Amino acid sequence: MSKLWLVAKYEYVRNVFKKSFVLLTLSVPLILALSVGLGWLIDRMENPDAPVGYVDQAGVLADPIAAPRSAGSPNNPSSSHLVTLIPYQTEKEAREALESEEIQAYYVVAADYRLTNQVELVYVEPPGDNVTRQFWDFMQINKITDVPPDIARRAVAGSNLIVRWPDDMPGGGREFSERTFLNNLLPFFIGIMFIMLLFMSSGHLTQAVATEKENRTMEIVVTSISPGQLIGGKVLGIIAMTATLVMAWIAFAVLAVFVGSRFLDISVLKNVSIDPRIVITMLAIAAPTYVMLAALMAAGGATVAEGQDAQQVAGLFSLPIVAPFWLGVIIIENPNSPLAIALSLFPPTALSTTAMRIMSVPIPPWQVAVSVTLLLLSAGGAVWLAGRAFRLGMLRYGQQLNWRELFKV
Amino acid sequence: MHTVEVSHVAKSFGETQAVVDVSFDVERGEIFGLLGPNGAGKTTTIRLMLDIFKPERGTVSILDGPMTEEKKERVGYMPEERGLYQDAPLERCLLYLASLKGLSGSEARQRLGTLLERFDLAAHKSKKVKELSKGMQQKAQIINTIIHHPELVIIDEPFAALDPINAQLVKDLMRELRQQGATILMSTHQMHQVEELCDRILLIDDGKDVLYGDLDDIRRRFSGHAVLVRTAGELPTVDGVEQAAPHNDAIKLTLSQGTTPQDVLRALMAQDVILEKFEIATPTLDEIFIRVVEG
Repeated sequence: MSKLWLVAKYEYVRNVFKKSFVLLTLSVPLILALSVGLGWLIDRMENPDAPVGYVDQAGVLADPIAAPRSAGSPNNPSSSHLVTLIPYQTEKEAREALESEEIQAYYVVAADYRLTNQVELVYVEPPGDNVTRQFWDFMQINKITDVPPDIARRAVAGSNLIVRWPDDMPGGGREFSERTFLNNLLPFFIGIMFIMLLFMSSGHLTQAVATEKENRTMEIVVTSISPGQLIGGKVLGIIAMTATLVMAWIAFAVLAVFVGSRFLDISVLKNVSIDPRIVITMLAIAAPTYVMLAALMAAGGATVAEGQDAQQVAGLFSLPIVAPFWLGVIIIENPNSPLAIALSLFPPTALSTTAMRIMSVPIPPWQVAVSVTLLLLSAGGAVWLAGRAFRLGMLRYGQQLNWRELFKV
Repeated sequence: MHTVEVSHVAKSFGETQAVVDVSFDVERGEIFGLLGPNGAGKTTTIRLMLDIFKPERGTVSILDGPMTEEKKERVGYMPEERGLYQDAPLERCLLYLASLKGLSGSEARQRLGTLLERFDLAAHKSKKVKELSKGMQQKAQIINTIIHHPELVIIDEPFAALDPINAQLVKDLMRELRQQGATILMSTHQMHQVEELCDRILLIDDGKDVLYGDLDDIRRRFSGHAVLVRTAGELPTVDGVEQAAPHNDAIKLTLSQGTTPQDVLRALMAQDVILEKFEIATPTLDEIFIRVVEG
């Protein structure tokens, strides 16, 4: 077996079977699942399903039209669940039902409602927002009595605004609407995930190189294999480790979407779809960004004396990746501004800026092409620098390599 | 054909000339001693041989040619800076390093088992390297150096951190390797070990070779400067003797420049001294080392 693969396999096994890796793989999905689950639970607790009663003293609800399916726009992905509305002839009956817990609350439509719009809500525990919204829609829809019921429902539901780029426009065919807002956020999440993975794996690489120096194994290893095989093997091993993490998280995400949409009735998860063009764009930019950052981390690891110092180096290189998020508001509000475009093309900031821009606008292919080209050139330069740093610094035990020496011809 | 041929190599690091001009050969199947004071350039010379550094001048031939990736599998190297993966279990660490030397998994496992038993480390194979004592780690390092049956073994300070029992173990191992046809190059400060093991030596000082050749020839070259004398009575004063000091059961007379052992013998005979012992003292390598280095 080529020695590069031996190094890769050793690096992979060394990292993947660590407790910290297992914890990381499980913790992020678990935390997310807990957050979502807790949110769902709280929502359920705050919005109980018990019926709500009403007493129509004004006679406006004599022949009522049912409220729209969702509270608000029919396409509102955050629709809350509906409760049953039960009419009572008198307030006494309604109170008895409330006291016997048959209903959670009841409304009293005042006799002079047509003049005053007065509606009274009586409860023991305050009902959830869903009840209030639902009854509001119910009252609104039953004000429009001179149109057919379906028109009345549409009038109350409101409009569904869809923003769509022309198909013949670069990156066109994309659609932004209330229904697809989660899909619009997905590129951002993909970008964040790539950036997180970049940091984790590149940090591992810095450590991996620095650890060879710290353990004093460098001399034994480079008299067994070439420095290129050593670095290449470590990069491959760490990529494999990262891929394992990604696959695990994707598996958890798919499971979460399945469970959430099928069993927990979280409607926002029912409309999840991923545009492959977005994934390809993000991958095309993330891959050379990874190589560039990994090589810089390796160079950094070769310059430091100890593994702990490597973490500081890793932090330094992560700054340009994170910096565009400080300008997040500006970029998202003006995704085609010169600043946003420039940051998309500048290699260290390309990935995070693109992730933010792609949420709002389709990115022209020429910008993607230029960004990828510049990233590839930067990655090549970083790999050269890493090789040089490794050769100069590999046997400097307990010593740091001066960055001036690194660039000296 | 020599296993190692180093010809007029030089290497500097910035302003420091680590190796000025070093040349030597190591013959197949011999144990060769590379000696020198601290900072003489021994480790740099070894690194030039192993292609860790490139020489600025001169040539290096290892196993009949320049160092290649394939030849790395035929060379075993134990550097002065000891190093194993501290957080890895001993067995896993050594198996990995053995695989980098071209051994298959099963081969490595089988050989490792034998060597761990021999070096009394079998009971510790599951422990992390950092949990082992310095001596144990040293032995593990030796195992790593020879597990792949190299043709050329280069060891920098093989006896450092070893107790006498383990030092003997290493000496026996080196003799065994030589018998099996391996060539060994050993860099050390422990002259008595060199005298015991080495066939030929190279003494480097300030990056230059100052003494090179067969150990016996070198001793002979530096002998004649002292004699060991034991007399029946008191030893009289003799001209031409720089120093007289007890030496085991005799007196060691260090001769001044121009005085030969024959002169001393004639002088003693002239004084009717009854000699019980008169022998030309062979200098130790320590004495030769000090004499050469200090000029």
